[in-house]
Amino acid sequence: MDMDGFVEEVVRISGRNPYLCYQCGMCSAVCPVAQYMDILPHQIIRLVQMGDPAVLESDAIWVCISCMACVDRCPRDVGPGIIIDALRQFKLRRGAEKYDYFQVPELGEAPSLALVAASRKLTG
Amino acid sequence: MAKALLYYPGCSVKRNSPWYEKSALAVLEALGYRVKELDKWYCCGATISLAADDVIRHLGAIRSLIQAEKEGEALGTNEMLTVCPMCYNVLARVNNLLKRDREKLETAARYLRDENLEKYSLSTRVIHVVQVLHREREKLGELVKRRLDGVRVAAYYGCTLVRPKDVAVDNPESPRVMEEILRSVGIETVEYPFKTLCCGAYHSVYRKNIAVANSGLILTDAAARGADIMVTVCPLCHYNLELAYRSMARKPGIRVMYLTDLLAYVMGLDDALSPETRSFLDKLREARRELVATPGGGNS
Repeated sequence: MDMDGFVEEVVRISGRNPYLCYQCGMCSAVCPVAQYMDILPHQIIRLVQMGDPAVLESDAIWVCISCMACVDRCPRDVGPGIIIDALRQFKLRRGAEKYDYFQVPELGEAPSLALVAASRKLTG
Repeated sequence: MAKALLYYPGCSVKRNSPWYEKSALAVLEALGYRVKELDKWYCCGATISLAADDVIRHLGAIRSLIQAEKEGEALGTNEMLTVCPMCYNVLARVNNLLKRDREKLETAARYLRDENLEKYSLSTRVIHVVQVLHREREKLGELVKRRLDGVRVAAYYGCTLVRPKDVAVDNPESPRVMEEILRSVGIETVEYPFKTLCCGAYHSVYRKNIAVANSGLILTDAAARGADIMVTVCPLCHYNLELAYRSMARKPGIRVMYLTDLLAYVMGLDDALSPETRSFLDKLREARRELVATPGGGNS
């Protein structure tokens, strides 16, 4: 996968400025799923600032559920959750598929919106 | 003249939570509302597309906003009612987005012209049933037929009613609207710190352990603070909370139900309740009545 210029594209997709982040850690503190992430939200933003494409291989970007807890509370209005969604978009627009519909045995009982939401977040 | 509301149901209320729809509509009817389901509505998409360059994923919501605008004229209202807070969140955010970004509005209009849809004039107001119940809470109090003395209820808000803040139905850090609704019908409420913690959302069909852990924490904490019932307004939160409950080896003594189920019960709207909810509440009410009547809290 061609990673050149991924930061520019992530900035364009998200409409947010990652360079405003001063690493206060608010996003990681309020994230309801941080404990399931391999790297924390503020670390994701740091890697984006540094232009390190390793961030695109983190599992954490697929754990974020866009609950907006960090977006509402970011003191620099960076919108970490919005940037994380743009990282997912970067991958999905290049063919990534993170959802295997055959691996979900209880699909039939779950509300249909769960499937719609998962499909939107995890497939292209 | 009855106050009118244009009703946008959404997929999960229709398919997975028919009793929620029933109790919500029954309570609104008792309050004197005429609720008219839109002749045509489209999937909201469940989550809003956050990509700044995206228009196509907003079209379902825009079509519904246009439909509401069209039908609202005849009905004399611009209020589009949602009961699912995921639908509320997406529709309200897309509505706000179009007000801010006229270029997107134009792009969508050009596309929708092929479907013979008028350009959206931004007049639809998206509201959630909690907002209607809150503004009518005094009247709700007058419609109470049954008391639930001694029953304690924790209100769970989740994410989509309070975040992001430009669509929040109340203070996003400390919402109180549901508690105020419950207290207006004489129900005691329980404070607990996790009422806006994410339940795990769609992780119940992706990484189930996350939904089970988060929802389990929400339930056990509220139960430990003495809540008998947890009320929610979201089909996905409801599903996740029950999923967590089923997975627990030691069950906390707390029952999950929809806010409007509880309201319908105290208002005596029994036809709008599932037999299970009705019999659970009958038993709980009976048990608490004995407890209240016995000095010393029924320990003797």
